[in-house]
Amino acid sequence: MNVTEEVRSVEFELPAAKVRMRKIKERLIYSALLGCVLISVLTTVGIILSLITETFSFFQEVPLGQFLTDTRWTPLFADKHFGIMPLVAGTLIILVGASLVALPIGLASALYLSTYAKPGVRKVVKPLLEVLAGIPTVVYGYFALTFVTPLLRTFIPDMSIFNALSASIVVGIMIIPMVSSLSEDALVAVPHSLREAGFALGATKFEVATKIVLPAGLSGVIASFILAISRAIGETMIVTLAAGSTPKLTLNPLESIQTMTAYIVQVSMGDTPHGTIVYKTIFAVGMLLFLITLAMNIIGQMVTRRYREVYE
Amino acid sequence: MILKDPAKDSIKDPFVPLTIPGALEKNRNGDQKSLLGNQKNLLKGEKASLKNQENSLRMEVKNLDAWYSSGQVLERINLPIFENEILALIGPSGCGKSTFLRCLNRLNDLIKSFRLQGQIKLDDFDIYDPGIDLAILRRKVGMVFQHPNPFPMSIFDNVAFGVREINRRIKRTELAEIVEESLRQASLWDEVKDKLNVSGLSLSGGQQQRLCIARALAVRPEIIMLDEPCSSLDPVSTAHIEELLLMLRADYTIIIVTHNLAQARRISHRMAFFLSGRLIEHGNTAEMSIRPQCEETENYLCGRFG
Repeated sequence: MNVTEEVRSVEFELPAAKVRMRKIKERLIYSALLGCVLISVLTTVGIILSLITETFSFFQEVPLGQFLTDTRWTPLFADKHFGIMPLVAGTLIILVGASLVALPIGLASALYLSTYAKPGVRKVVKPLLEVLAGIPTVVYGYFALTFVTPLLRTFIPDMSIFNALSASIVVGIMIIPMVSSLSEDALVAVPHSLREAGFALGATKFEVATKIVLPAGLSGVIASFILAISRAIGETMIVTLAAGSTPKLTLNPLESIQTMTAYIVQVSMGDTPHGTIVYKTIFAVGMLLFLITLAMNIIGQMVTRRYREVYE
Repeated sequence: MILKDPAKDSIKDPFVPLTIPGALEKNRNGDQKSLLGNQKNLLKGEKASLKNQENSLRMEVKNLDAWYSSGQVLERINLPIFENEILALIGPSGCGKSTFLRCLNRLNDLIKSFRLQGQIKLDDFDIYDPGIDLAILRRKVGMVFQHPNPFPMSIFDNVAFGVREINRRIKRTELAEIVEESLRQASLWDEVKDKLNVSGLSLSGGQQQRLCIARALAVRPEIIMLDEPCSSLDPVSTAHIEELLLMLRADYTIIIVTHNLAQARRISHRMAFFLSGRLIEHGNTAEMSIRPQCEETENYLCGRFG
């Protein structure tokens, strides 16, 4: 019997028991994989359901109109007010400050890495930038409180110890690698022949980078911006440590403020009894946070689709 | 610029020996920029001496060797390039024709490991002279790539891109004129005149490639290089571009890399056959097709390999 015949006979003369075992094994693997998918899907559904039910019961006690229009947020005081605006304002300051730091620096780094840097430099600098992403946010929080704030206070002595400026700068630093790394991926993916065509027309590196490569990779760059901004909105540790816990309807970054995330931490850490109105506030705030990031993601996808250029 | 059409003759009989029509003198004696600013006079004198000469030499490649990190890719290339000719570079894949083409506008400079020895002259200038302004060189020696690669911007801006690089404060009307003229030269104007603000990427492949030709023409090059410009196009678009090249020949010197031997025979006046980094043979297309000097050329032209 030669080799091919041997192989063939082995394949076809498999005992029935073995065939059955194989089928069971396949079914087990299928179920295990499906189970893993279901765990994450069901978790998401569970979180959303609990958010919705608790938020619903919150709005049975506090009218939606008051929640949206009242300018004070004092659920922890005797004189309770449930106006979300101060927390939104606090989050907004952090978001704007962090974007002002991260988007220009991140984009400039991406342009440098994708067009200017020699391969050797790129190989060293890119991972170094990505190390920034691996630093625990609590370390960033300490960095903001114990280094950036004192530094800023040498220039602005009136600034309070807990302030939005320091926190937003550090949140910005934290999301730089997200912007630079994802943008750089998008820019590097721009077909090489486009750069060559630019150079072949006598354009300089800067013109090729800004007028050809950047517009061509714009969808990826915008996606990186939106992801980074979502991250800044959801960032908790830095703002809890450095931005203070004073819900205040202000846009002045030198004051102590409170963001939505920091408020949730404050209440969760305390001994708030289950079922009280204070307990329910964190679900309402969490729901709003969820809706904002969801909206960001949807806008991000729409913008990406709008600006996507098709290359064959 | 008025396009004379000596090309029509060439379509009937592509093998007529090439003579220079007067059409080019205006182009060459006009507002030509010197590669080295301080040698303008020298250039003028040189041009005067070129007048009334037939088949004047435009570029000359002498003893060119080139290396990538992987090893030598071009060996001892010597090739003259004449005014107003269509020169076809032929040969199997990886024989060095594209590399050779990219030496002529120094696009290979972008590759770090690339190294070159020898001399390439454009008129009287050594283009690898350290004093050469790369932007001016690349404007004089335009290039069209293998795959259509319009920039991610409108049709108008695609054509205007290079012009804006040269003159940032150009008037809108003047720019519009140049864009229209370039699109007409690339015989694309009638198809896009009503949608100049539409993205260049919305055009069909053949239109995109003609847009790329218009883009290259807009900066008023003297030499146009095309790297397998029809390889990703259908036969109709290919025919369109071939016709276009025959028309452009009146005003430009054209160098085309092609895998398509029939195409080389249809449109070129001279052919250069590359094999494994060496230039095996070059000469008049008709003569080379009928009586190739080297055995390798004959084998390739007969389709025995490649």
